[in-house]
Amino acid sequence: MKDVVTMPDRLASFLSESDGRKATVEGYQLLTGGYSRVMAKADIRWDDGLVESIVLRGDPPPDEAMLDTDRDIEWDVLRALTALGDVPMPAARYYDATAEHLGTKCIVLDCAPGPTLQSLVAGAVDPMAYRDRLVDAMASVHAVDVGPLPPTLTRPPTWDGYLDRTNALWAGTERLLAEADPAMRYVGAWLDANRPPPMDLVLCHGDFQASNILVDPDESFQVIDWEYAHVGDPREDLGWYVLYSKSSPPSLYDPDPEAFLARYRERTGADELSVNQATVGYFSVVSIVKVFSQIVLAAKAMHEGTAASVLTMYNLNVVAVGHMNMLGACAELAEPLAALRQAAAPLTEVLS
Amino acid sequence: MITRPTTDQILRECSRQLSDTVLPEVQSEHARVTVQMLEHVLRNAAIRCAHEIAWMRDETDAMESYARDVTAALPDRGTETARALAALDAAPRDSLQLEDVVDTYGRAGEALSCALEAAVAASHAELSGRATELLARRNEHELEINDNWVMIGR
Repeated sequence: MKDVVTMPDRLASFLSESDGRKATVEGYQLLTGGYSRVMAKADIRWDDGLVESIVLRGDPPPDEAMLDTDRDIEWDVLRALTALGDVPMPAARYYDATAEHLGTKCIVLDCAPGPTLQSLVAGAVDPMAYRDRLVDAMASVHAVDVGPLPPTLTRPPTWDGYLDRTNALWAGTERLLAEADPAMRYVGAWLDANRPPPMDLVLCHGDFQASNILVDPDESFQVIDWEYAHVGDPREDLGWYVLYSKSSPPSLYDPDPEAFLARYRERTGADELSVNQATVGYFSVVSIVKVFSQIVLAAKAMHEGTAASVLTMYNLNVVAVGHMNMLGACAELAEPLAALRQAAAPLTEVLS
Repeated sequence: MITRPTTDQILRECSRQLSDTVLPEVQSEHARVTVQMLEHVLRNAAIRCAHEIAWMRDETDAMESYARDVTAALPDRGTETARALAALDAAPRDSLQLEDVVDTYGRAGEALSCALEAAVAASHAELSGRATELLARRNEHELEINDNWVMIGR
């Protein structure tokens, strides 16, 4: 995919075979911004006269892979979400599942024409003008009916079972590393000891942040990069956004967290006992494990000589920031979470 | 052995050359991001190589002391910690070779991990508090290595 000389012909051949129309690739360029996948944009002219741009999203070479997710599952999910028709996302079009055509497993999607929300808010005089639409986009993801989604998307049977498995990832991953990471072990133990009130499980994007939203010329939002999509607690996406936007400002949450969460509750019907600053903070910590694990596992792979990339080395910085954020959150959240559990206790007794 | 310029000085100069000499000549946005990342990685490495052995040895002593206190205070929950401490006892602690210091530091880290898990599970406020202090100290060193890191290329 990175070979800009040979890729236009290979891509034209693949598109023609997949679509039935003959395609000519008139432009092909690699994109920056995709930290986990190789991304490219191509300009296509079809033999019926249609001209359009598409985006390619493929696996990096094995020795450069830093974040390990499954392209087959991502394609299944993207195809199902596209078929639903009302999910705000670029349509998934084609998939080279064998890497036979494009040199790597590669998903081809519509190219949304607009810039990322991150680039807009970073340069905006009033970034908060985008807040409600960001919240609404997240709420629309959480409103997706998971029934039609593929069975490869695991449905945890219970909320407690889901949280058991998610929290166990901390110690489970840490034990795979080339060295001890006591912060990971602490966080896993802390999360287990400080559970918030439960919520219904929904479709979570898994990496919901402003760089993964494209803003169309008509100002509508398109959510991209669904590789971490899963069925989980909706507060994971809220928590991840809160966390991520701190290291990639401006945050649309921090200036007025209550207004942000009130909008989310209004759009989803969630109650205040479930969705509040403390529970979102808890899930900021929960949500980080998947990406954090991939980063530290990449460091292990580099140590063992099985994979290496500039990104792996660069992202060692993320580990330190992650530790800082996790430990800070645990310290701040223990008391408010205990108060919430106390408030929820009578309700839990009635329900049981 | 030539020791001056020191290793961290050499790495800092490499970083500066990338930033001041190479980067302005690079046109491709993809390559520019890569050069910027490499420049920062070299700065990370410069700070690490200047301090890491001293930092690891200091932290090792503190982690060991904590783990021994946990096994004494929580004997019923101390099996894993005791096992980790036994592994630490067998570490090459007198060597200043980087690989040996890293090995010892890793074993002390495992002892700390086992001990803090026991303290949190037992809701032992004092020992849990001490654990977070040790983790904060470790994190201070990590953040010093980061050297004002910000995400590039997004």
